Amino acid sequence: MPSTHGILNLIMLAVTVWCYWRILGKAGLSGWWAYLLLLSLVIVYLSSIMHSAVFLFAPYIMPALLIWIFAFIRWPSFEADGRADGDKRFAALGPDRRDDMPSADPHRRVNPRFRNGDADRGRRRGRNPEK
Amino acid sequence: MHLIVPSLIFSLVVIYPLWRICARAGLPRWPAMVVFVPIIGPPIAAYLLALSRWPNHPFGR
Repeated sequence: MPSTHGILNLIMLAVTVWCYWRILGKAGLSGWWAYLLLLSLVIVYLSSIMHSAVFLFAPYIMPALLIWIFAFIRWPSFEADGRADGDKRFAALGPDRRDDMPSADPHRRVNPRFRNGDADRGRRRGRNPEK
Repeated sequence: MHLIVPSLIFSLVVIYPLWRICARAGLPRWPAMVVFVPIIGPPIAAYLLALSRWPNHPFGR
């Protein structure tokens, strides 16, 4: 029975890491930061072998820290517009509305080799696309 | 009882930042209140935040 309890906790941890990954991605941060939640396992283990009362609160320490940090740091995705404090400030843009090239979007990673595909193709065929 | 009390203390600690996250994302505030459900509340709140569309997001994600 305790092993079942442990497996359920691990499943819950995995689901929570996935949720944090998505939340961080929406804010424009790296989802890898979600793996800091796995430190909860280390804290639980250390507090249990030390017979510390922290054991009861150990699973909640890392999520609480991450939530506090996440609430107050800047979110890169939300800096597309300088008017950052207005309510529903991006509603007028609509979903996925972009007028610039994907490579010009600083939040989108584009392989530099494909940054300007048309110009590269023209150069390879001996044409100068600037003319 | 030894499971519920730490969960409630965690809820009290994170309710303000969760409230703030919901406000910044343009979401209603009730997902933040879900953390007060003992034990399963925090993962459910994370799930709601992760899967809902954020109205304030510039690209509507």
